[in-house]
Amino acid sequence: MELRSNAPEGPIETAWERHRFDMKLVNPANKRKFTVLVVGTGLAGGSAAATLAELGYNVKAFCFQDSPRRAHSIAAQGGINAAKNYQGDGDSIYRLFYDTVKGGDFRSRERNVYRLAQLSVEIIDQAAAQGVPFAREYGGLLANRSFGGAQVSRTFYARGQTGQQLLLGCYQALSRQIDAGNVEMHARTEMLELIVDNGRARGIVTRDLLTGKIDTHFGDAVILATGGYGNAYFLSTNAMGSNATAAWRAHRKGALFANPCYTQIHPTCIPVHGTHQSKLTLMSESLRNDGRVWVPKKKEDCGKDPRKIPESDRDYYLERKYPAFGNLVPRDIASRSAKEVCDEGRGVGPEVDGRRLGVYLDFADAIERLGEDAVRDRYGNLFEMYERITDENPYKTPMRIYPAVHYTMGGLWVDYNLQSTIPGLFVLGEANFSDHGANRLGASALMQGLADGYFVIPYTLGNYLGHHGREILANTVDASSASTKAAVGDVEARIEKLLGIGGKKSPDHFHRRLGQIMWDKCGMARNKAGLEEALVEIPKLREEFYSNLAVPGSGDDFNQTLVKATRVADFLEIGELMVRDALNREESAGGHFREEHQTPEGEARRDDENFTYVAAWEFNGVGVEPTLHKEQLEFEYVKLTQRSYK
Amino acid sequence: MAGQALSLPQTTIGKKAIMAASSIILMGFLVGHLGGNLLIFADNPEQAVNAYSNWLREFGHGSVIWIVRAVLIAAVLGHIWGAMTITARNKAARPVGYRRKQSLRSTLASRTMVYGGMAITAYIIYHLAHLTFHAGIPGGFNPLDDPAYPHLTTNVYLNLVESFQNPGIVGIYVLAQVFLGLHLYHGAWSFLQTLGASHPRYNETRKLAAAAFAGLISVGFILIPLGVQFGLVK
Amino acid sequence: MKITLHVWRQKSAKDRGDFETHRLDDVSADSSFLEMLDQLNDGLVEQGREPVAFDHDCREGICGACGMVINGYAHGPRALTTACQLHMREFGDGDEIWIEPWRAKAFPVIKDLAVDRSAFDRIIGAGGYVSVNTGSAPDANEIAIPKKIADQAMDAATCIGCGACVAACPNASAMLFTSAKVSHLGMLPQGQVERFDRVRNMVAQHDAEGFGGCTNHGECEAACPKGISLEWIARMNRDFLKAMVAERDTVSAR
Ligand SMILES: Cc1cc2nc3c(=O)[nH]c(=O)nc-3n(C[C@H](O)[C@H](O)[C@H](O)COP(=O)(O)OP(=O)(O)OC[C@H]3O[C@@H](n4cnc5c(N)ncnc54)[C@H](O)[C@@H]3O)c2cc1C
Ligand code: HEM
Ligand code: SF4
Ligand code: FES
Repeated sequence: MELRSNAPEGPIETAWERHRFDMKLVNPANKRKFTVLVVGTGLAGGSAAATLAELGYNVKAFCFQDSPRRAHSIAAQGGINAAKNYQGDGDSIYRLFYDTVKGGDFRSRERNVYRLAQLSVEIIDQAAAQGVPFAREYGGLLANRSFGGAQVSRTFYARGQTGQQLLLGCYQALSRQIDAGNVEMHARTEMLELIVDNGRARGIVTRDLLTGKIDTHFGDAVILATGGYGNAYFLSTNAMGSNATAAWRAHRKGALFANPCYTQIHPTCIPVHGTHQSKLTLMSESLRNDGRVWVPKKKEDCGKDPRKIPESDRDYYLERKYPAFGNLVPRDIASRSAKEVCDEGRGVGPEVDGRRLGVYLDFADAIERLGEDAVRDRYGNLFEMYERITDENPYKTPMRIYPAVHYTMGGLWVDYNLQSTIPGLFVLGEANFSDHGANRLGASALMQGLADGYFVIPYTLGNYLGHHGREILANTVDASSASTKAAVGDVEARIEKLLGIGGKKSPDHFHRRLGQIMWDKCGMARNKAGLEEALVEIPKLREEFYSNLAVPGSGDDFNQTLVKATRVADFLEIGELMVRDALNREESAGGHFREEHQTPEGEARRDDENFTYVAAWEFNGVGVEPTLHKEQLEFEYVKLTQRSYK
Repeated sequence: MAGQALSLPQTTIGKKAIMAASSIILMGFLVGHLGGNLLIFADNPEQAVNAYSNWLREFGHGSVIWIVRAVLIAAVLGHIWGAMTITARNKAARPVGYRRKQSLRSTLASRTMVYGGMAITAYIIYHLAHLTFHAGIPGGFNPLDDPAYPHLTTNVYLNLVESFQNPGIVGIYVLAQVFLGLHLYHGAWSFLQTLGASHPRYNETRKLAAAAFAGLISVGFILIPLGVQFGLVK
Repeated sequence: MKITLHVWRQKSAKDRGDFETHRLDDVSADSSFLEMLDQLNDGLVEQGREPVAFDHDCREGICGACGMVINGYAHGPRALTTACQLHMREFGDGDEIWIEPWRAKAFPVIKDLAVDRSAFDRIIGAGGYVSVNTGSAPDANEIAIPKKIADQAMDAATCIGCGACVAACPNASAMLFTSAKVSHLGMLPQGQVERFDRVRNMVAQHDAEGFGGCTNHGECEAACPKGISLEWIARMNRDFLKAMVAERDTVSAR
């Protein structure tokens, strides 16, 4: 299979505009003839569903939560980037583009990123018009802050709840279309299979989570905006329900999966407290602006009260190793350094399973310099959240933080039009692999999700339907089609199988164990031996899952254990692919750090000669080696350089 | 959307607005009524009270009192209608109750509005029967039957003084005023909230003023029977 | 720590339901309330029994999915805290804990502690938006908004749609929720055009869903994990009465 990005040639600045002009349009009367299925109503799916309905398409939207307003996007805290240059501090579309390509460690597609930077500007306009209450200056204009290593202030925010406010804006637009009858909303409905007919994505098989009813929905195109797969690690900052099922099922049906090993580990999360921990909580990255990260120099000090450890016995390791950026090094570097010191046995906090996994983030200096009130002003709500969870007062004793899985840069492979390798299947938001390369910069996931949904898919979908609409309409797919029957049969068999194992252990039990393997062997630092072990352990665990899983209750009511089991079953497969990809990528890039590939100082070392490509995997069966397809990446505008934050 | 104001009573906020509007009339009445009644503590109470009541009856050739009465009756009916329909609606909104439920902010007053209201209704009937229509009140004093006082129907002062010699009647009046006070403790800030008369700067004051108002009204009214009972009225 | 749980179990909306008692012997004080329930559920599943159903997703106090009445308090006894952010250290060793679902006619029980809150979505659908199609927006800095107004709008906009206000209200009224959205949009310049239609339609939908009316108890404000203020209800009342009585269709120059 040849992977064609379908990105327009020519000057990058006008590429999208020219492409928009070249694309086919669907006239308003014809739009009504088309039905589009949108799976997922987070920022990406919600914005797509609302916009497509506004344009006149019939839209059916799906989410597994009880309301589209609760999609995981709601949890984003920090902000959203846009190249508005309202601060006049030298920002521009080109600079945002440049920063994103570099931040992604040169593993993203330049033309996609450029378009993203261009559209970022319109997102802010749209959101403001919807009534998103962004932070403002006293003069009444929008405020910005700097974020995640950027040298300009381009991040727009709404307190620490930017994702919430953007999602609510999008949800409100969607609600308006639902009320108008243009969107048929199916909440508490999980997509379990994709229907591909005559080579095109034409429908989905869903399960109503309340009644257990297996249903089919047909359309002329299918859009997946189902978020990331970070929960393969069990513990992550993702919501409990975030899952890979929709994307994974599409992958099994032929959509290639790109760069599955690129995982972002966020450095400032609250450490694990014990074995019953169910998820991890992110503390905004902004804390690193004023907090100093340290651990004791001596192992013996690790259990001591940190306030009693003298300055001379503390190791401010980020400041020591990276004098230029200090505590503000990018996420991947900060995370890895924390892991290193903890692996050396210098971690702090209570022991969990015999290890102390945590480092101090100390505000004592900031409090002395700025005063407690100023610190409260800046971080009050975060400190409160920290105290609520840990029962420790960060004004008095240093916070403890540890990295946690946060975001997945990999996802279904899509071309410039956001179309996967299955015609008619489009993938938006975190579920695709498109714009962040090997590492995502802070405040750019919200930007990407909304750019995809509000401003890209409305055009590219029209182009697809404009070209193939007639053929699609002529080929009716319904419940009696062979492709539908096979898909439904497959789903029913899976559910029956999970219900019938009659074992002893809950889905969470297996999920936890998978997470442990993934974290230990395919986490912040990976090596060949560990990855190969994981390739043995995961299939074994999968086998055990299918022989010792317990799912009480039946398939025809609200059975949360069954829902969990269907998701874990898919995590057990995607986990293996992540490991394979990590094993294949014999270099370190962004969120993927191979211990074999580092500089003598312990920094990540890319191998541009051999790995400047997108690794897109084709499914060949469970436990069967997948086929690797490569999309070569070209860098015409941003010169490949080694990142340095010294 | 002409005529939508007519659908106001069907809405939850509309019902409350009607209650609030009517309660303004009723509270206005209470203030006036209390003012008039406190004349009983004047130097020559009999003359002051009777002159006041005669003035009320004859003002505008006797028409004004009927207008006032009509407005008051409408207000009471409107208020009661609002109370009944909203209470019924609110009960229906939670068909299955909690086994355990703690209150954080609501007050005894706010939770007993409807009972207080019913007590006030009962009291109003009693009060009118007693002093306006002079119906026989068991154990009470019925001046119409007493030949010793041929002109008593208009001697409001004597009506009061004689009735409040009876501790039972005093008890009923005092109790009723406690209910009224409680009703107003919540009601007198609540009606402002209902009508949207709020401002962060004044909201605390709003509550204090309501409590003060409730206290003044109920203590004011209580003073009358107690004053008579304990011989403070000349 | 050891605790005794009395959990509401109800198979479906039609079932009558009752409390079921469970004992847990080794609960960590550092566990969140929902992690404690996970622990209970894991045990139940391993015994082949059906676990307790409850909604949850983010476990960070922002998605609004979780919610249950814990010992008589919506989201439990700690102020400004969702059930998922409540920790077991709020309770004492040996405590008895009663857990019930949100109770309201407009929130029918689905199973155990999970209820159907789709009424909230319909209230938003009735008008809780600004009708602006994608692509037609002017530059975001075209309209300056005083910081104070923007901040207040944000205060109202932080509602997470959890339904605790309804659960705590003696009248099962959803006025706090409704007013938060009416006020958020009604305060901003972008929301002015539809301001009076919005409040009219949202209140009508609120009523049609079978929620009770507000009688100003203030329980909602006290239970709300996001500190949404009663002030917004007053503001909504004001707008609603203006819309209905003055029959305003759109905002005037005022
Ligand atoms: C704690 C946290 C903080 C963050 N902060 C920031 C930040 O400050 N700035 C930033 O830019 N990014 C941030 N991110 C990242 C960003 O929030 C996400 O990447 C982004 O919101 C993903 O949006 P999405 O629309 O792609 O997916 P989601 O919001 O995850 O939505 C997925 C949707 O798909 C549905 N779905 C999933 N599977 C199925 C299925 N099988 N069937 C039916 N429906 C399904 C879900 O119901 C949901 O509606 C943060 C992430 C986390 C975890
Ligand atoms: C002297 C007569 C009365 C006065 C001055 C009075 C005053 C008030 C006031 C000010 C309110 C608050 C209204 C609002 O918040 O909008 C109120 C509420 C109420 N009143 Fe009365 N009231 C009187 C008589 C009655 C009567 C006779 C009833 C009969 C049932 C009654 C029942 C109620 C109820 C149930 C409420 C509560 C409704 C709510 O809180 O929303 N009241 N009253
Ligand atoms: S107003 Fe408060 S309690 Fe009510 S839904 Fe919103 S956040 Fe929850
Ligand atoms: S689970 Fe999201 S708010 Fe509690």
